[in-house]
Amino acid sequence: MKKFAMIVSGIWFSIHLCAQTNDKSQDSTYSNWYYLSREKLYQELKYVKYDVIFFGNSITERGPWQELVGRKYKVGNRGIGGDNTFGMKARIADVVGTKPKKIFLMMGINDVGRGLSTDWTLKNYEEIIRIIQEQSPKTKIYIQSILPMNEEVLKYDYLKGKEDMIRTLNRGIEELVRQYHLTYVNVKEWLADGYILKKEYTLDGIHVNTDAYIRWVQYLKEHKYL
Amino acid sequence: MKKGIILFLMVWGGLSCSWAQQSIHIDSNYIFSGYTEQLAHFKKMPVLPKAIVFVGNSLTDAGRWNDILPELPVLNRGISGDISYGVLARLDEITRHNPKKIFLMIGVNDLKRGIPTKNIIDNYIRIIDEIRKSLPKTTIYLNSVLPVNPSKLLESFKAVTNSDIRILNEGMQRFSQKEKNVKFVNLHPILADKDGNLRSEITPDGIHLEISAYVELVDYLKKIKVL
Repeated sequence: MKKFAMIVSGIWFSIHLCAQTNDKSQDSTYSNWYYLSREKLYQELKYVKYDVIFFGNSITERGPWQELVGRKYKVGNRGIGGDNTFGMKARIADVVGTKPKKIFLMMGINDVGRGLSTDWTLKNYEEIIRIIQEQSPKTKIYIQSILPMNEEVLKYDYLKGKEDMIRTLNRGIEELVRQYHLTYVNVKEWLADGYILKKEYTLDGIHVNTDAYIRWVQYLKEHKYL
Repeated sequence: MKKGIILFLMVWGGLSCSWAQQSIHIDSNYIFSGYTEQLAHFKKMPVLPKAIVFVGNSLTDAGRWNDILPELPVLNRGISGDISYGVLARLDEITRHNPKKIFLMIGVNDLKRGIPTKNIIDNYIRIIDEIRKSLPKTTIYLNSVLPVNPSKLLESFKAVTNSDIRILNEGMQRFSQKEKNVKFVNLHPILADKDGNLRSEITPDGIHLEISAYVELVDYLKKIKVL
Protein backbone atom coordinates (compact mmCIF):
# COMPACT_ATOMS: atom_id res chain seq x y z
CA MET A 1 0.00 0.00 0.00
CA LYS A 2 2.76 2.37 1.03
CA LYS A 3 4.78 1.44 -2.04
CA PHE A 4 1.82 2.16 -4.24
CA ALA A 5 1.42 5.57 -2.65
CA MET A 6 5.09 6.27 -3.22
CA ILE A 7 4.85 5.33 -6.86
CA VAL A 8 1.82 7.53 -7.31
CA SER A 9 3.47 10.46 -5.63
CA GLY A 10 6.61 9.80 -7.66
CA ILE A 11 4.67 10.00 -10.89
CA TRP A 12 2.83 13.05 -9.66
CA PHE A 13 6.11 14.66 -8.71
CA SER A 14 7.70 14.05 -12.10
CA ILE A 15 4.65 15.39 -13.91
CA HIS A 16 4.76 18.41 -11.67
CA LEU A 17 8.48 18.88 -12.28
CA CYS A 18 7.92 18.52 -15.98
CA ALA A 19 5.24 21.19 -15.90
CA GLN A 20 7.54 23.52 -14.02
CA THR A 21 10.40 23.23 -16.45
CA ASN A 22 8.02 23.50 -19.37
CA ASP A 23 9.04 26.15 -21.85
CA LYS A 24 6.57 29.02 -21.51
CA SER A 25 8.26 31.31 -23.98
CA GLN A 26 5.41 30.91 -26.47
CA ASP A 27 2.69 31.36 -23.89
CA SER A 28 0.94 34.69 -24.38
CA THR A 29 -2.10 33.90 -22.21
CA TYR A 30 -2.92 36.22 -19.33
CA SER A 31 -6.32 35.28 -18.03
CA ASN A 32 -6.55 33.60 -14.64
CA TRP A 33 -8.82 33.96 -11.59
CA TYR A 34 -6.65 36.72 -10.13
CA TYR A 35 -6.60 38.73 -13.34
CA LEU A 36 -10.35 38.31 -13.77
CA SER A 37 -11.20 39.34 -10.20
CA ARG A 38 -9.13 42.54 -10.52
CA GLU A 39 -10.38 43.27 -13.99
CA LYS A 40 -13.96 42.90 -12.78
CA LEU A 41 -13.30 45.55 -10.14
CA TYR A 42 -11.58 47.84 -12.63
CA GLN A 43 -14.48 47.47 -15.02
CA GLU A 44 -16.85 48.56 -12.25
CA LEU A 45 -14.63 51.59 -11.67
CA LYS A 46 -14.31 52.39 -15.36
CA TYR A 47 -15.98 55.79 -15.02
CA VAL A 48 -14.17 56.93 -11.90
CA LYS A 49 -12.06 60.04 -12.56
CA TYR A 50 -8.44 60.02 -11.48
CA ASP A 51 -5.69 62.59 -12.06
CA VAL A 52 -2.93 60.02 -11.93
CA ILE A 53 -2.95 56.32 -12.67
CA PHE A 54 -0.31 53.75 -11.82
CA PHE A 55 -0.53 50.89 -14.29
CA GLY A 56 1.32 47.59 -14.18
CA ASN A 57 1.78 44.26 -12.42
CA SER A 58 2.20 43.25 -8.77
CA ILE A 59 4.92 45.83 -8.17
CA THR A 60 2.36 48.50 -9.04
CA GLU A 61 -0.58 46.79 -7.36
CA ARG A 62 1.20 46.55 -4.01
CA GLY A 63 2.27 50.19 -4.01
CA PRO A 64 0.66 52.45 -1.38
CA TRP A 65 0.53 55.21 -3.99
CA GLN A 66 -2.45 57.11 -2.65
CA GLU A 67 -1.00 57.41 0.81
CA LEU A 68 2.45 58.40 -0.39
CA VAL A 69 1.41 60.80 -3.13
CA GLY A 70 -0.99 62.59 -0.79
CA ARG A 71 -4.04 64.68 -1.58
CA LYS A 72 -2.61 66.78 -4.40
CA TYR A 73 -3.84 64.26 -6.97
CA LYS A 74 -6.63 61.74 -7.16
CA VAL A 75 -4.68 58.55 -7.65
CA GLY A 76 -5.85 55.24 -9.09
CA ASN A 77 -4.00 51.94 -8.84
CA ARG A 78 -4.43 49.70 -11.86
CA GLY A 79 -1.90 47.03 -11.11
CA ILE A 80 -2.66 43.34 -11.48
CA GLY A 81 -0.29 40.87 -9.88
CA GLY A 82 1.23 38.49 -12.41
CA ASP A 83 0.07 40.47 -15.43
CA ASN A 84 2.14 40.42 -18.62
CA THR A 85 2.11 42.91 -21.48
CA PHE A 86 -0.55 40.91 -23.35
CA GLY A 87 -2.91 41.21 -20.39
CA MET A 88 -2.07 44.90 -20.10
CA LYS A 89 -2.69 45.57 -23.75
CA ALA A 90 -6.13 44.01 -23.37
CA ARG A 91 -7.16 46.38 -20.57
CA ILE A 92 -5.33 49.65 -21.21
CA ALA A 93 -8.08 51.31 -23.29
CA ASP A 94 -10.56 51.22 -20.40
CA VAL A 95 -7.94 52.41 -17.94
CA VAL A 96 -7.48 55.68 -19.84
CA GLY A 97 -11.16 56.01 -20.74
CA THR A 98 -11.69 58.83 -18.24
CA LYS A 99 -8.62 60.67 -19.55
CA PRO A 100 -6.30 60.97 -16.56
CA LYS A 101 -3.69 63.74 -16.55
CA LYS A 102 -0.82 61.35 -16.05
CA ILE A 103 -0.18 57.65 -16.31
CA PHE A 104 2.84 55.81 -14.91
CA LEU A 105 3.62 52.52 -16.59
CA MET A 106 5.77 49.70 -15.28
CA MET A 107 5.52 46.56 -17.31
CA GLY A 108 7.44 43.56 -18.51
CA ILE A 109 8.94 41.57 -15.64
CA ASN A 110 6.35 38.80 -15.97
CA ASP A 111 7.12 38.56 -19.69
CA VAL A 112 10.73 38.06 -18.62
CA GLY A 113 9.63 35.40 -16.15
CA ARG A 114 8.08 33.39 -18.96
CA GLY A 115 10.94 34.04 -21.27
CA LEU A 116 8.69 35.70 -23.86
CA SER A 117 10.59 37.20 -26.75
CA THR A 118 11.67 40.76 -26.00
CA ASP A 119 10.45 41.70 -29.47
CA TRP A 120 6.93 40.68 -28.48
CA THR A 121 7.11 42.61 -25.24
CA LEU A 122 8.37 45.76 -26.93
CA LYS A 123 5.72 45.44 -29.62
CA ASN A 124 3.05 45.27 -26.92
CA TYR A 125 4.67 48.21 -25.19
CA GLU A 126 4.42 50.24 -28.36
CA GLU A 127 0.80 49.26 -28.92
CA ILE A 128 -0.06 50.21 -25.34
CA ILE A 129 1.53 53.64 -25.89
CA ARG A 130 -0.42 54.07 -29.12
CA ILE A 131 -3.71 53.08 -27.51
CA ILE A 132 -3.17 55.62 -24.73
CA GLN A 133 -2.29 58.38 -27.21
CA GLU A 134 -5.30 57.57 -29.31
CA GLN A 135 -7.82 57.29 -26.48
CA SER A 136 -6.50 60.15 -24.43
CA PRO A 137 -4.05 62.33 -26.35
CA LYS A 138 -3.58 64.78 -23.48
CA THR A 139 -2.53 62.17 -20.93
CA LYS A 140 1.13 62.52 -20.10
CA ILE A 141 2.85 59.15 -20.29
CA TYR A 142 5.63 58.27 -17.86
CA ILE A 143 7.53 55.13 -18.74
CA GLN A 144 9.25 53.60 -15.75
CA SER A 145 12.28 51.37 -16.24
CA ILE A 146 11.83 47.72 -15.41
CA LEU A 147 13.39 47.21 -12.01
CA PRO A 148 16.46 45.01 -11.86
CA MET A 149 16.37 41.94 -9.62
CA ASN A 150 18.63 40.85 -6.81
CA GLU A 151 19.76 37.34 -7.70
CA GLU A 152 21.29 36.77 -4.31
CA VAL A 153 17.92 36.85 -2.58
CA LEU A 154 15.79 35.91 -5.59
CA LYS A 155 13.27 33.25 -4.65
CA TYR A 156 11.96 32.38 -8.11
CA ASP A 157 13.97 30.05 -10.32
CA TYR A 158 12.13 31.11 -13.45
CA LEU A 159 13.66 34.58 -13.14
CA LYS A 160 17.23 33.52 -12.46
CA GLY A 161 19.90 34.44 -14.98
CA LYS A 162 17.60 36.80 -16.87
CA GLU A 163 19.30 40.12 -16.20
CA ASP A 164 20.22 40.41 -19.86
CA MET A 165 16.57 40.30 -20.87
CA ILE A 166 15.79 43.18 -18.52
CA ARG A 167 18.71 45.16 -19.95
CA THR A 168 17.50 44.53 -23.50
CA LEU A 169 13.96 45.55 -22.60
CA ASN A 170 15.06 48.72 -20.86
CA ARG A 171 17.12 49.69 -23.92
CA GLY A 172 14.09 49.08 -26.12
CA ILE A 173 11.87 51.04 -23.75
CA GLU A 174 14.25 54.00 -23.84
CA GLU A 175 14.13 53.88 -27.60
CA LEU A 176 10.32 54.01 -27.54
CA VAL A 177 10.48 56.95 -25.15
CA ARG A 178 12.56 58.89 -27.71
CA GLN A 179 10.41 57.84 -30.62
CA TYR A 180 7.11 58.80 -28.98
CA HIS A 181 8.45 61.81 -27.02
CA LEU A 182 7.53 60.43 -23.62
CA THR A 183 9.08 60.89 -20.20
CA TYR A 184 11.45 58.19 -19.03
CA VAL A 185 11.41 57.57 -15.29
CA ASN A 186 14.61 55.85 -14.36
CA VAL A 187 13.51 54.53 -10.97
CA LYS A 188 16.29 52.00 -10.91
CA GLU A 189 18.72 54.87 -10.52
CA TRP A 190 17.59 55.13 -6.91
CA LEU A 191 16.42 51.63 -6.12
CA ALA A 192 19.29 49.66 -7.61
CA ASP A 193 23.05 49.63 -7.73
CA GLY A 194 23.73 49.30 -11.41
CA TYR A 195 21.64 46.29 -12.35
CA ILE A 196 21.17 44.90 -8.87
CA LEU A 197 18.10 45.78 -6.85
CA LYS A 198 19.31 47.05 -3.48
CA LYS A 199 19.10 44.38 -0.81
CA GLU A 200 17.49 46.68 1.73
CA TYR A 201 14.58 47.26 -0.63
CA THR A 202 13.56 43.68 -1.34
CA LEU A 203 12.66 40.49 0.47
CA ASP A 204 12.34 38.15 -2.48
CA GLY A 205 14.66 39.74 -5.02
CA ILE A 206 11.93 41.20 -7.23
CA HIS A 207 9.17 42.85 -5.20
CA VAL A 208 9.97 45.97 -3.23
CA ASN A 209 9.21 46.97 0.35
CA THR A 210 7.74 50.03 2.03
CA ASP A 211 11.07 51.88 2.17
CA ALA A 212 11.47 51.41 -1.58
CA TYR A 213 8.01 52.81 -2.33
CA ILE A 214 8.75 55.81 -0.13
CA ARG A 215 12.00 56.41 -2.03
CA TRP A 216 10.24 55.86 -5.35
CA VAL A 217 7.53 58.44 -4.73
CA GLN A 218 10.15 60.82 -3.38
CA TYR A 219 11.98 60.39 -6.70
CA LEU A 220 8.82 61.18 -8.66
CA LYS A 221 8.20 64.27 -6.57
CA GLU A 222 11.78 65.52 -6.75
CA HIS A 223 11.73 65.23 -10.52
CA LYS A 224 8.41 67.12 -10.57
CA TYR A 225 6.60 64.22 -12.18
CA LEU A 226 4.13 64.48 -9.31
CA MET B 1 1.01 49.39 28.83
CA LYS B 2 -1.60 47.91 26.52
CA LYS B 3 0.69 45.04 25.75
CA GLY B 4 1.01 44.53 29.49
CA ILE B 5 -2.73 44.25 29.89
CA ILE B 6 -2.98 41.77 27.08
CA LEU B 7 -0.11 39.71 28.39
CA PHE B 8 -1.80 39.71 31.76
CA LEU B 9 -5.03 38.53 30.18
CA MET B 10 -3.23 35.74 28.42
CA VAL B 11 -1.44 34.62 31.56
CA TRP B 12 -4.66 34.92 33.52
CA GLY B 13 -6.46 32.92 30.85
CA GLY B 14 -3.86 30.20 31.08
CA LEU B 15 -3.85 30.14 34.88
CA SER B 16 -7.59 30.08 35.23
CA CYS B 17 -7.59 27.14 32.89
CA SER B 18 -5.42 25.16 35.22
CA TRP B 19 -7.35 26.32 38.29
CA ALA B 20 -10.73 25.23 37.13
CA GLN B 21 -11.66 22.86 34.39
CA GLN B 22 -14.88 24.63 33.48
CA SER B 23 -13.26 28.00 32.70
CA ILE B 24 -12.20 28.57 29.10
CA HIS B 25 -8.82 29.46 27.79
CA ILE B 26 -8.90 32.63 25.72
CA ASP B 27 -6.37 32.84 22.94
CA SER B 28 -5.96 36.58 22.72
CA ASN B 29 -2.51 36.56 21.16
CA TYR B 30 -2.62 38.84 18.17
CA ILE B 31 1.05 39.09 17.31
CA PHE B 32 2.24 37.15 14.28
CA SER B 33 4.56 38.05 11.41
CA GLY B 34 1.82 39.49 9.17
CA TYR B 35 0.59 41.76 11.95
CA THR B 36 4.05 43.03 12.83
CA GLU B 37 5.04 43.67 9.22
CA GLN B 38 1.82 45.40 8.27
CA LEU B 39 1.86 47.59 11.37
CA ALA B 40 5.48 48.58 10.69
CA HIS B 41 4.39 49.50 7.16
CA PHE B 42 1.50 51.66 8.43
CA LYS B 43 3.80 53.47 10.83
CA LYS B 44 6.04 54.53 7.96
CA MET B 45 3.19 56.16 6.06
CA PRO B 46 2.73 59.92 6.27
CA VAL B 47 0.03 61.40 8.48
CA LEU B 48 -3.18 62.03 6.58
CA PRO B 49 -5.18 64.69 8.42
CA LYS B 50 -8.96 64.30 8.67
CA ALA B 51 -8.70 60.83 7.26
CA ILE B 52 -11.51 58.35 6.85
CA VAL B 53 -10.03 55.17 8.22
CA PHE B 54 -11.22 51.64 7.54
CA VAL B 55 -10.02 49.41 10.37
CA GLY B 56 -10.30 45.66 10.51
CA ASN B 57 -9.02 42.30 9.32
CA SER B 58 -8.58 40.74 5.87
CA LEU B 59 -12.07 41.86 4.87
CA THR B 60 -10.94 45.46 5.26
CA ASP B 61 -7.44 44.83 3.93
CA ALA B 62 -8.76 43.37 0.67
CA GLY B 63 -10.95 46.39 -0.03
CA ARG B 64 -9.60 48.81 -2.61
CA TRP B 65 -11.11 51.74 -0.73
CA ASN B 66 -8.72 54.31 -2.20
CA ASP B 67 -9.48 53.30 -5.76
CA ILE B 68 -13.21 53.31 -5.16
CA LEU B 69 -13.14 56.65 -3.31
CA PRO B 70 -10.34 58.74 -4.86
CA GLU B 71 -12.12 61.95 -3.88
CA LEU B 72 -11.80 61.21 -0.14
CA PRO B 73 -8.76 60.98 2.17
CA VAL B 74 -9.06 57.27 2.81
CA LEU B 75 -6.75 55.01 4.79
CA ASN B 76 -6.93 51.25 4.66
CA ARG B 77 -5.93 49.89 8.04
CA GLY B 78 -6.89 46.28 7.62
CA ILE B 79 -4.56 43.54 8.77
CA SER B 80 -5.32 40.08 7.55
CA GLY B 81 -6.02 37.72 10.45
CA ASP B 82 -6.43 40.47 13.01
CA ILE B 83 -8.68 40.12 16.07
CA SER B 84 -10.28 42.66 18.40
CA TYR B 85 -7.30 42.47 20.77
CA GLY B 86 -4.98 43.29 17.88
CA VAL B 87 -6.99 46.37 16.91
CA LEU B 88 -7.01 47.55 20.52
CA ALA B 89 -3.22 47.35 20.59
CA ARG B 90 -2.69 49.44 17.46
CA LEU B 91 -5.09 52.34 17.91
CA ASP B 92 -2.20 54.82 18.24
CA GLU B 93 -1.35 54.35 14.59
CA ILE B 94 -4.94 55.25 13.71
CA THR B 95 -5.52 58.16 16.07
CA ARG B 96 -2.27 59.87 14.94
CA HIS B 97 -4.09 60.85 11.72
CA ASN B 98 -6.73 62.70 13.69
CA PRO B 99 -9.40 61.00 11.59
CA LYS B 100 -12.78 62.42 10.85
CA LYS B 101 -14.40 59.02 10.64
CA ILE B 102 -13.39 55.53 11.64
CA PHE B 103 -15.12 52.48 10.22
CA LEU B 104 -14.51 49.41 12.30
CA MET B 105 -15.25 45.87 11.20
CA ILE B 106 -13.67 43.24 13.41
CA GLY B 107 -14.60 40.05 15.21
CA VAL B 108 -14.86 37.20 12.78
CA ASN B 109 -11.34 35.91 13.49
CA ASP B 110 -12.09 36.16 17.21
CA LEU B 111 -15.03 33.82 16.63
CA LYS B 112 -12.83 31.52 14.58
CA ARG B 113 -10.61 31.12 17.65
CA GLY B 114 -13.52 30.54 19.96
CA ILE B 115 -13.25 33.81 21.87
CA PRO B 116 -16.61 34.25 23.64
CA THR B 117 -18.92 36.91 22.18
CA LYS B 118 -19.03 38.69 25.53
CA ASN B 119 -15.28 39.28 25.45
CA ILE B 120 -15.44 40.53 21.87
CA ILE B 121 -18.21 42.99 22.73
CA ASP B 122 -16.21 44.14 25.76
CA ASN B 123 -13.33 44.79 23.38
CA TYR B 124 -15.54 46.89 21.10
CA ILE B 125 -16.32 49.05 24.10
CA ARG B 126 -12.66 49.25 25.08
CA ILE B 127 -11.71 50.22 21.51
CA ILE B 128 -14.32 52.98 21.48
CA ASP B 129 -13.32 54.28 24.91
CA GLU B 130 -9.69 54.32 23.84
CA ILE B 131 -10.42 56.24 20.63
CA ARG B 132 -12.65 58.69 22.49
CA LYS B 133 -9.89 59.58 24.91
CA SER B 134 -7.78 61.15 22.18
CA LEU B 135 -10.49 61.91 19.60
CA PRO B 136 -13.76 62.95 21.24
CA LYS B 137 -15.13 64.39 18.00
CA THR B 138 -14.41 61.53 15.64
CA THR B 139 -17.43 59.56 14.50
CA ILE B 140 -16.99 55.85 14.93
CA TYR B 141 -18.98 53.63 12.62
CA LEU B 142 -19.35 50.06 13.75
CA ASN B 143 -19.88 48.02 10.63
CA SER B 144 -21.87 44.90 11.28
CA VAL B 145 -19.77 41.75 11.23
CA LEU B 146 -20.71 40.17 7.91
CA PRO B 147 -22.64 36.93 7.95
CA VAL B 148 -20.94 33.81 6.65
CA ASN B 149 -22.21 31.43 4.04
CA PRO B 150 -22.01 28.07 5.85
CA SER B 151 -22.29 25.96 2.70
CA LYS B 152 -19.16 27.55 1.23
CA LEU B 153 -17.17 27.84 4.42
CA LEU B 154 -13.74 26.23 4.66
CA GLU B 155 -13.12 23.76 7.48
CA SER B 156 -10.89 26.21 9.36
CA PHE B 157 -13.73 28.72 9.61
CA LYS B 158 -16.47 26.26 10.61
CA ALA B 159 -16.39 27.59 14.18
CA VAL B 160 -17.83 30.86 12.89
CA THR B 161 -21.63 30.84 13.03
CA ASN B 162 -24.23 33.35 12.03
CA SER B 163 -25.90 33.05 15.41
CA ASP B 164 -22.71 34.27 17.14
CA ILE B 165 -22.37 37.01 14.54
CA ARG B 166 -25.91 38.08 15.35
CA ILE B 167 -24.99 38.35 19.04
CA LEU B 168 -22.04 40.61 18.16
CA ASN B 169 -24.13 42.81 15.91
CA GLU B 170 -26.94 43.11 18.42
CA GLY B 171 -24.38 44.02 21.05
CA MET B 172 -22.94 46.76 18.86
CA GLN B 173 -26.37 48.06 17.98
CA ARG B 174 -27.41 48.15 21.64
CA PHE B 175 -24.54 50.22 22.96
CA SER B 176 -24.23 52.44 19.89
CA GLN B 177 -27.73 53.75 20.64
CA LYS B 178 -26.53 55.01 23.99
CA GLU B 179 -23.27 56.50 22.77
CA LYS B 180 -22.75 59.82 21.12
CA ASN B 181 -20.70 59.76 17.89
CA VAL B 182 -20.98 55.99 17.62
CA LYS B 183 -23.14 54.59 14.87
CA PHE B 184 -23.99 51.03 13.99
CA VAL B 185 -23.96 50.33 10.25
CA ASN B 186 -25.92 47.26 9.36
CA LEU B 187 -24.52 45.82 6.14
CA HIS B 188 -26.83 42.83 6.10
CA PRO B 189 -29.44 44.51 3.86
CA ILE B 190 -27.03 44.47 0.92
CA LEU B 191 -24.66 41.60 1.65
CA ALA B 192 -26.96 38.94 3.12
CA ASP B 193 -29.44 36.77 1.24
CA LYS B 194 -33.01 36.12 2.39
CA ASP B 195 -31.82 33.39 4.75
CA GLY B 196 -29.34 35.72 6.40
CA ASN B 197 -26.26 34.13 4.83
CA LEU B 198 -23.52 35.97 2.96
CA ARG B 199 -24.72 36.17 -0.65
CA SER B 200 -23.20 33.26 -2.50
CA GLU B 201 -22.35 35.16 -5.67
CA ILE B 202 -20.15 37.73 -3.92
CA THR B 203 -18.03 35.39 -1.83
CA PRO B 204 -15.35 32.96 -2.96
CA ASP B 205 -15.11 31.08 0.36
CA GLY B 206 -18.18 31.90 2.41
CA ILE B 207 -16.47 34.58 4.48
CA HIS B 208 -14.44 36.95 2.25
CA LEU B 209 -15.81 39.22 -0.46
CA GLU B 210 -15.00 39.33 -4.15
CA ILE B 211 -13.03 42.53 -4.56
CA SER B 212 -15.58 43.93 -6.99
CA ALA B 213 -18.26 43.59 -4.27
CA TYR B 214 -16.67 46.44 -2.34
CA VAL B 215 -18.01 48.86 -4.93
CA GLU B 216 -21.52 47.88 -3.93
CA LEU B 217 -20.62 48.15 -0.27
CA VAL B 218 -19.24 51.67 -0.72
CA ASP B 219 -22.28 52.68 -2.77
CA TYR B 220 -24.43 51.57 0.13
CA LEU B 221 -22.38 53.58 2.64
CA LYS B 222 -22.93 56.61 0.42
CA LYS B 223 -26.61 55.89 0.08
CA ILE B 224 -27.16 55.78 3.82
CA LYS B 225 -25.06 58.94 4.06
CA VAL B 226 -22.28 57.73 6.28
CA LEU B 227 -19.71 58.48 3.59
